[in-house]
Amino acid sequence: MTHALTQSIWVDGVAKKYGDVSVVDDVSFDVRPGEFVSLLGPSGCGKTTTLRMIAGFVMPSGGRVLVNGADVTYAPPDKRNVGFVFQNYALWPHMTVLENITFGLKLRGRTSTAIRSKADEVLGITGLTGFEGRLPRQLSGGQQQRVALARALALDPALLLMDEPLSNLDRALRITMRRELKQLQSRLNMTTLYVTHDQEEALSMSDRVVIMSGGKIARIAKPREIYEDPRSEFVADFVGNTNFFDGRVVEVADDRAVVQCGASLKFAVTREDSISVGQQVRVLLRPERIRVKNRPEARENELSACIEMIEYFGPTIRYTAKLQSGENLYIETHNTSQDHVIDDQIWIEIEPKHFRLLHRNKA
Amino acid sequence: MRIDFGTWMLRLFTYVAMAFLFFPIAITLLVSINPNEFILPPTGVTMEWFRAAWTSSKFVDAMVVSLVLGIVATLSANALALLAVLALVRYNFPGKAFVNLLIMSPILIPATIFSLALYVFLARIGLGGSITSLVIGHTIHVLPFAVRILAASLQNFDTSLEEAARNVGASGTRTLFSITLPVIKTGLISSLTLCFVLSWNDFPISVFLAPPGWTPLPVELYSYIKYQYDAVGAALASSLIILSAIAIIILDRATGIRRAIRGEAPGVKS
Repeated sequence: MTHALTQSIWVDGVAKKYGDVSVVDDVSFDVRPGEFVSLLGPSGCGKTTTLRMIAGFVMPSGGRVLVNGADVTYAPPDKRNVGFVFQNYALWPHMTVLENITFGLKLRGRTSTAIRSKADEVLGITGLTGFEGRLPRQLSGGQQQRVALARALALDPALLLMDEPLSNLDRALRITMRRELKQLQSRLNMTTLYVTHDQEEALSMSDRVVIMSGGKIARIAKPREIYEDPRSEFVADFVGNTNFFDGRVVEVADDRAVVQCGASLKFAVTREDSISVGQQVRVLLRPERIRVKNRPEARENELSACIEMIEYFGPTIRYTAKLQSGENLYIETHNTSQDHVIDDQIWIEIEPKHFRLLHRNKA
Repeated sequence: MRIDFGTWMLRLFTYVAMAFLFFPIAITLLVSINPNEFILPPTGVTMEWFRAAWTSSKFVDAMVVSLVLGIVATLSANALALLAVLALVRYNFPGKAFVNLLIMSPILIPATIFSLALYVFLARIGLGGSITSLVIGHTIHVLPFAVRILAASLQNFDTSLEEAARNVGASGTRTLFSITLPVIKTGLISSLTLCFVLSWNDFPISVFLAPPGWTPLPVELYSYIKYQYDAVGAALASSLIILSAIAIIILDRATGIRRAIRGEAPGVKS
């Protein structure tokens, strides 16, 4: 292993064009040794193409791909030593589980004892001991997924690339496998780049998340930073639900600023350095940051609202409420004994620190 | 249960049509086991004609020629077809539709005309009637069928299986032989069997291109029955029919004959 390197993968200004269509455009990021990084974005955002360029299945139109310091931009896929787990698993249907796992080891000319012991090791890790002789079609989706992982791990790859590996599983199994995968990755300290369109997966598993949109990177940050401080409308909207209000800064004090969002709607927000009076801003507010109460307590950012819709999720409940000023607001609360019905008049309160501001251009 | 007139007529028509197709084959088979030459109905069963046919060195030689020719033409056609299909199915290139049409054209042109044209062309370039010409002719003749069947197999082939092999360190060639070909095995078997049967039964190409002393069985049989009227010819014809039937049964077992002919993907799971 290369200890001195700080980057297991370095994607440097990579681009991919098909004719005039730009699928990936100037994408740069790195993955550090032992790190779990997700590429998150809606379908068609270029995340899978980026992953496939790192694996060598797609040739970039520009930029460089470095794996452990070596430029592999134009190396064939069989000369890269990166593990790949496919969305559809891509298990070879004519080979048994054991043959699938050991194919790469045999190509490397390992002795049969070395191959057998490595196979036993990865079968053990992935919980497949006893399934060696099965054919892929005799396995369930979850088991096939494990074989795909075992096949990649058997070669001790420099890093593991995964392309939506859990998206073909049903929800319950997906969550179980997600936890197992994360535990395994931590235990093996396996450098991993993980493509997903599922924000829950990305947030819960990753050390860092790379959010892509329209072939470009929208944001690279830790899961908590992405959620708490999205810094762009796209990220705020794509990761979790967000309430948006357009407004203008009307007052700036020591630690407070006041944003006017319509004739009779004002929010006091925690002051950010770049704020000045007269600025056009977009105010973001996460639905679970809103406190619901039955009577006013004469506090800051206290508003009355009327419940228009209730979505019951079990552990949480989402209300769609109409403010007196006319705006709709999503509110998400924990499922407590306090129960509201449609047309209930409620009071809400928002702490100033829960608002996030985005600058708007005065169009 | 009431079955209406139309249904009855359809059934009748179907049976008559099938009888019409099978009658000559049945007669041939009957004649070849009939002790009294050409007197029907047969008065007993004999293997004498088969014995005579299979001990005639002329026929055995012709059978060996047909066998070797069939195998060589089948293998070369399938090797070429595989390469053509990989390009046709996986890539877009200018003139693709034309190339496709060109490969399929031997099916569209009447066999006699195609054979004559090929003979004239090969004679011009100095090959004429030769073993090479015969192999070339048969290869071109069966190529469209191989392309059809292999294209169907590869169209449904999940290319991530190949990417997975490349990813664990297999070269392109290794991937073809260890992954692609085994996965499309049933399609490949269909193609090989069908191509062999087509070459084995071909008459017009062989008539034009076979060199002296290297005559395939159908041509040998034709020249025999042209001058001699006995049941040995029928026995030989029966042998050809039975061998073709066996091959077709193998093909059916491997893939389902209808799917093979229609060019649907044999045995590839989605």
